[in-house]
Amino acid sequence: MTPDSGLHPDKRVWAVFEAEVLPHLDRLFRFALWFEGRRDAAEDLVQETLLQALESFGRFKPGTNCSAWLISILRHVRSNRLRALSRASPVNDVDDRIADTVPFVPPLPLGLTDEEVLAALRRIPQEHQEIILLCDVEELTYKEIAAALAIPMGTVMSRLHRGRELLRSELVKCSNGVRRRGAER
Amino acid sequence: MQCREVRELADSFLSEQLLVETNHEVLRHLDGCLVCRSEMAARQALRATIQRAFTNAESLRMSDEFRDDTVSRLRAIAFPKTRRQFFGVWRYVAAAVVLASAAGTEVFLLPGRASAAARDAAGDHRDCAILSRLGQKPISLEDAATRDDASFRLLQNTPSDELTTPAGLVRVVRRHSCEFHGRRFAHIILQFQGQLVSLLMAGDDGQRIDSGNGADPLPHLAWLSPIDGFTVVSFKTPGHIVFLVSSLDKPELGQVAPFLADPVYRRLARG
Repeated sequence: MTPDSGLHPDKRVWAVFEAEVLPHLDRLFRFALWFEGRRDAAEDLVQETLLQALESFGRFKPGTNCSAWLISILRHVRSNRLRALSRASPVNDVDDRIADTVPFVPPLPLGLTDEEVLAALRRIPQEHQEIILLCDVEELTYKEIAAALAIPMGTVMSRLHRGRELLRSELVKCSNGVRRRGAER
Repeated sequence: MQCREVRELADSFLSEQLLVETNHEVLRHLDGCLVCRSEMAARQALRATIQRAFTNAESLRMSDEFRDDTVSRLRAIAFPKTRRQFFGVWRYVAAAVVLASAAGTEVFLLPGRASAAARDAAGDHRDCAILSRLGQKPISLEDAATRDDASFRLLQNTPSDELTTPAGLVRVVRRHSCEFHGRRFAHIILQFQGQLVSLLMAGDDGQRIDSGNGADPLPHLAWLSPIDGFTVVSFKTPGHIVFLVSSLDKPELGQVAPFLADPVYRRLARG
């Protein structure tokens, strides 16, 4: 950390923390609320995450991806809580190999609303939702996602591939539903 | 490069994860393949939609109160040492002033020793207001009034949710009843100048819980030695003791303490 001249050490740490970490507060909260589903649980999770981030801020290297670092702390806090509550959901078997053949892929539907896209995202398994959000919204690299989730990079790629397939199926179903409703009118 | 291979690499291409040479091969293929180009454009559009939808979803938005509350808590944790250093000096200055005064001067300047109740109040401020790490979840003031101490009910609206003082706005963040080391408090968490202030009321050990006779019209604020890096001031009402605990400096807390103490004192005296 680059010290600010004349500032007390506590104030220097806070100044850097404020500059590096707090801008990510909104995105971190959205991520937490998406997976927790309840506002009070998301608030608890985010506050605990930031407390741990503050306590371990000496280990963060400025200039590296702070968002990825915060998400890895958040996941760690969350999985500890789920373990403590014995609510850890069994991990679905994920095919770690990329498909040998490329099956027929229906074209991506056009004209879906933001709400329909998010609703479709919610219907796919959570580990796939997570990867898609980290990749598309947080724009983490595969390496950063692998570090944040503590999984191999190959698993990141295969889960992303599978997640997108599942999302596409949900979007097509949604689009067919919209077309049917339109025809009935 | 064939269409099949391009589709397998599509996600990595859009995430800019491919090696430079592979990237160029994909681009060369897309240049000449309308089908793959359309597919890639559709995937790109979907990616952008997910990003936009997630980032703008109103249902996922964090409240301003939560943001302010979180920043206040983090700041309170980031600065405890600074407060201890400041009050370490202040305590010696205050003691020197007292010693220099003539005998018989009332010792209001010398910070009082912390009682068990004061230590519990500081601990509750730290574990409840700042860290939200109490072993037992807080309960409503109404429930606590029914179960333990009817006077807790009086703090449901006192002090008011927003208080304008000459030093600035004081805002109530939360009201509840919580327990620390077996001592039950009525706890009002306030925010002033970006810092949290706890107003904590408990039954006064050794006093009867009834309205006292000849009570002073104004509360008498007693400033205590800092506890755990926090500034602590207390006042008594018939049957209760009330603490104000904060990471604010004594001068800062001193600007708002009378405005918080006065309505609480008068409300409790009325019964």
